[in-house]
Amino acid sequence: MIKVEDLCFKYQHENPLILDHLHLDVREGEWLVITGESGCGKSTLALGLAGFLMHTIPGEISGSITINENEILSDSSDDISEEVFLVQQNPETQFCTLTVKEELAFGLENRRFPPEEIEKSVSRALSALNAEDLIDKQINELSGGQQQKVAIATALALEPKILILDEPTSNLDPTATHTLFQTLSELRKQEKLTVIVIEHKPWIFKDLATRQVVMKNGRLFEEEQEKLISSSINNKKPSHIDKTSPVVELNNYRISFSKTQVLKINELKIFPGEIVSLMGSNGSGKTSLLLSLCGLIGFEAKVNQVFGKPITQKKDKFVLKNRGIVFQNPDHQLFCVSVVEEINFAPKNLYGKDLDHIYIGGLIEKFELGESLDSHPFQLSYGQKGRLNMASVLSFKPGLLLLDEIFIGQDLNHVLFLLETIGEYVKHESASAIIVNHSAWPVFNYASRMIFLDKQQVLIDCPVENACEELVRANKFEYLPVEY
Amino acid sequence: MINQIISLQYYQRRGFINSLHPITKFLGLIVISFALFFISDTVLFHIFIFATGVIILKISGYSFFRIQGGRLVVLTAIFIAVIQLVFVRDGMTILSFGSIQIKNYALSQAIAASLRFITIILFSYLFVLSTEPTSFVLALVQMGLPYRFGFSIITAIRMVPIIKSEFTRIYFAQITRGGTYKFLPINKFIGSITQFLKVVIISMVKRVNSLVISMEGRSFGLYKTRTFIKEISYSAIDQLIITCEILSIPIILFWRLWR
Repeated sequence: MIKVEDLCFKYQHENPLILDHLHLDVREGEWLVITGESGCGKSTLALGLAGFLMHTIPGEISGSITINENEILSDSSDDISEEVFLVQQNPETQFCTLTVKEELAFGLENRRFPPEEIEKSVSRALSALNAEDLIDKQINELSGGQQQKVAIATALALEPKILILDEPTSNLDPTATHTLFQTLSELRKQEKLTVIVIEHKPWIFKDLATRQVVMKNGRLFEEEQEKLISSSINNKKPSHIDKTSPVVELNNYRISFSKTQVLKINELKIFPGEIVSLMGSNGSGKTSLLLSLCGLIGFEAKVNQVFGKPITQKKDKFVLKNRGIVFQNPDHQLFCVSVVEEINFAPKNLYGKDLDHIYIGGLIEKFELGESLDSHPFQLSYGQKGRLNMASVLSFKPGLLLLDEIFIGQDLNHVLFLLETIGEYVKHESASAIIVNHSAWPVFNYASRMIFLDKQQVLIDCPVENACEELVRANKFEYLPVEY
Repeated sequence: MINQIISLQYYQRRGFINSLHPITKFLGLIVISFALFFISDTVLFHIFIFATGVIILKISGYSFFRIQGGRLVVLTAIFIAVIQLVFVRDGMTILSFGSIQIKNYALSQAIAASLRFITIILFSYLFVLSTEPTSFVLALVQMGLPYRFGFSIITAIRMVPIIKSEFTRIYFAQITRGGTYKFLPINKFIGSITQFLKVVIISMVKRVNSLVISMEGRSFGLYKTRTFIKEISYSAIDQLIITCEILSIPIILFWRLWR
């Protein structure tokens, strides 16, 4: 169905080939998973298969991509759009209308289908996903899982033969991920759909994918599933937790937006040396908790103390020096013109002095942030940018790390690297860390405690050794590690 | 009645204003703005139009003060009135506070100017709250606007909540890394704004790229025309109102010239 031969692609103004003499064959009805390190060219390949490399993305291309015996590199991307549909990483940014119905109708309207036919196709696509109730919803009212469903329904309305999903699970909680995969699996069988998924977490496709390939330096290699899912990671949980005085102490703590309560915590204490895995469904209040601990959003509380001082919304140096927060999207946290300046940004602002160049060089090497010290942060790959965010926060040595889904866009090796780094940092600096994560594995191997938020309150708070039993007891099976 | 602050956006509800054709409402907004500027010296007329707007807003189920930005609009209107009262020196003195004297002409100008401002905003709010953007675009396309231009309105509205949330997140990231918006020293203040804007612009360019891929992947712009799932038409009431709106234009011009 898809045949890629000797495909090479180089982005405009960039030297190395991102796709380097790449070959790929995909049969009809296959479920192919493409995995690989961040920045290795997976998303570029997806754009190529969807017909965008010739027309929309500037660069140099050679080789051939044949879809159903049509050579698409000589065709217009509009022709191929009837065969292939690409769901990009963040569905929220690809919606171009205001309601679900309009979004699903958009492509059909552009292809000048009569309104009656559009109505039928929209209803059919939504019912295939059991999402008929979403038809009159506003796009900005949808949850992450619903957005992903609508993005796929948008594709189904156009009846493509090939569906490409670029990191579909990056913004989804495990429940939404599970539902999505069940749906895709059924659709593949019913509609003979060929599914190509680009994903950093191949282990979540253990029983679903028909084939997995690994991308390295712009080329694809067949690899055994078992090899990819190797989970032999030693437990590296924090060994010394000082329970004398808590870093964070909350009592009767409430966060509200526009009179709607988003989180309620009766009691919470976090001690030096602890690494907390903070889990929960989309919208359960995880990010709100991190923001409120930094005094970035308002709250009400009987007791609220971080490092023995009440949390205030006043941005004083004590608060800023002691709390290091890393947000989800790395692009939103890069303010300087070089990697060196970026690492130096917070220490310079907070302590008024530059870090030693040798120390910065060491961080750049350790975090694999490229060869040149003067590289512009925006020239780095998505994964590298995420690691640069981490390095720029660790550089000013905060006592409390607040990390909001920092593993998105990181391949397994770098996820493990970040976890190791957090573990070492917490140990050496007697710091604490709260890691917001959706995937229990491999975080459970490094955390000392799990807090699970559900329906805007704490459902489980236990040592990580008991986390799996507690998740089973709470019927949160989707959150369990694969090997459990 | 909605009790909490609501965003300035379309809300689906039944009612007379919502049932009108978007062009009827848009033309009405233009005619009212036109009238307020051309019949600028008649306070009673301003009060009448303002009161009409308030009644329509109330009947439609909205409170001006509960709409995002409503209070700022009222404060701005008061500021405009104060400026007029203090700086217009024509007419007879009707009140005096020490060296500040309030003239009768200044008072009428203050009422007219502030009401003109607040009335235009009020009717614009009414238009936005009661008009579905897609219907408005469809109406413009029906009038001959190429759909590619029409859709720029929808994509712009679509981007507003995304931009708003990204602004907040970027600001938070900058502040927590010690960035500051203290006005002095000025070079540091400008530096902070530059850093913020650079990240915002790069982020927006990425969003637009993603949107382009999404739209092109669904054949946007492939043909000169497109169909619409939604259908809108002019009712008899729309036709009557539009006739009145068109007829009122020469009346307003005549009033202006006659005065």
